[in-house]
Amino acid sequence: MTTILVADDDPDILELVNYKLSQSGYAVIAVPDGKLALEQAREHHPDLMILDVAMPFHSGIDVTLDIRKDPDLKNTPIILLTAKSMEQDTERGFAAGATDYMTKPFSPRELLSRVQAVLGRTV
Amino acid sequence: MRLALVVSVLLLLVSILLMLLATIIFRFVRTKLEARSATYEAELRTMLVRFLSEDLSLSELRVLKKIHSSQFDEISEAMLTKVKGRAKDILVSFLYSRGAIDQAITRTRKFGYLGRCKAAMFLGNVGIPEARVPLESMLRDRRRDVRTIAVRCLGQLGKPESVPALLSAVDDDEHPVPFGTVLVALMRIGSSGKELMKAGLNSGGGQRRAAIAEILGMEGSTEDTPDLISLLENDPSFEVKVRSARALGRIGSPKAIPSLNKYLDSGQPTALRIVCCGALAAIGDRETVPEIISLLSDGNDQLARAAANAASQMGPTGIKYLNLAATSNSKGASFAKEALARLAAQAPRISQD
Repeated sequence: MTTILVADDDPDILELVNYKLSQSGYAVIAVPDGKLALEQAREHHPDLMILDVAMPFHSGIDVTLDIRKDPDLKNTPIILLTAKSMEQDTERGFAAGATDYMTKPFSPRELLSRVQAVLGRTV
Repeated sequence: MRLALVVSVLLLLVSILLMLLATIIFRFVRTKLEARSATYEAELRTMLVRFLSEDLSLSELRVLKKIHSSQFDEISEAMLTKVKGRAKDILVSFLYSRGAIDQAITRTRKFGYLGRCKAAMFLGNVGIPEARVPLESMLRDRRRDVRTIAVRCLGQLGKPESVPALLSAVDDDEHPVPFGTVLVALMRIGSSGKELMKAGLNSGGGQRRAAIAEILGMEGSTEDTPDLISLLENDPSFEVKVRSARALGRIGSPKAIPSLNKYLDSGQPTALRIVCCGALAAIGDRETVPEIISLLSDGNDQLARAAANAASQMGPTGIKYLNLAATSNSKGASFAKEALARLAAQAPRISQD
């Protein structure tokens, strides 16, 4: 089963993404911060990660940078999900190694399509 | 006497004990209630997520008890700002069916200003066309913070029909609103409101035309150059003239050069001369460099310094003229040297690594 790790400090969004992906047949690991995201990624080696940019302890960009340095995880696709729609944030996200980028407010359907597209390219 | 003292001390001790007990009970009950509320919140959030994912029907939600349904409405309202597309449509239909939107419209006229603020924010987040008229009425609210929120929410709503009301709001001295907030709202409405905005050039006060000039400059369309030239040359308001000059610089059309040049004249107010100088630099036509350099010898040091900075932004021609001015014996030599030094300090460092 394809495993997706989702990290967001907003419980509404975490639950919504978790439910939408589980409903579509993915195994989901949902965590509320960046540090836990990194720990869980190292333990479970997910097929895809969806990370909020502005999270406590470790931002989504910090996690992306750490994942790209990790030899076991460096090829894991990452979708960044953030409230920041500024161009420089998008650039920062891609520079850190993100595969795709979505801004909040987001459409759960669109997120699912992006997940399928990214996994279709990589898994 | 002694007995009375003992009784008083005892009474005091008993009251302290009772107060301590009451505090402990209060804290215990509050913790229990918070824990229960958190449990319900988690359950209600799951229900909302299932509802948004179309796994739970509206009729299934009707089983909620009254106390839970108001908590559910709160969670739904919080979700409004987080989702878009189909999920948001479902959420808005649900809030309609609950009467939350009609209630918010009614709350926009209630006495408590916090309630009016909340109602405005809710209507802005819902983003339905019906929210426009009540939000526009709030532009004349007696509280400035309510009016400010209404402006912000009208921008969020993004309906071009709101443009006349927003422009009237900047002119309304009895119900003032922050000028910058109106500009942001007009920017969010964008080009769809442009025709209505330009219609406002022929009516109302100076603040309205100043706002229009600012927005036209930020949009940066060359087709608006004639309107802005006309504002610069004919408008009685000094603020409108300054903002129009700056807007012409942002647009960058060479058609504005003759008008901007006219306002470099020493008979004009310094602020306008400085802005026109900056606008000419932004347009960047090298033919205008000598005119700008000539301002280095102006009696007004502020203008001379602005002219030197403007020339430093005009590429090789500007720098060539600045170097000439810097080596001359003219009054402007020091300003030219200053601008060149600033330019040198900004140059990127190149390292061998």
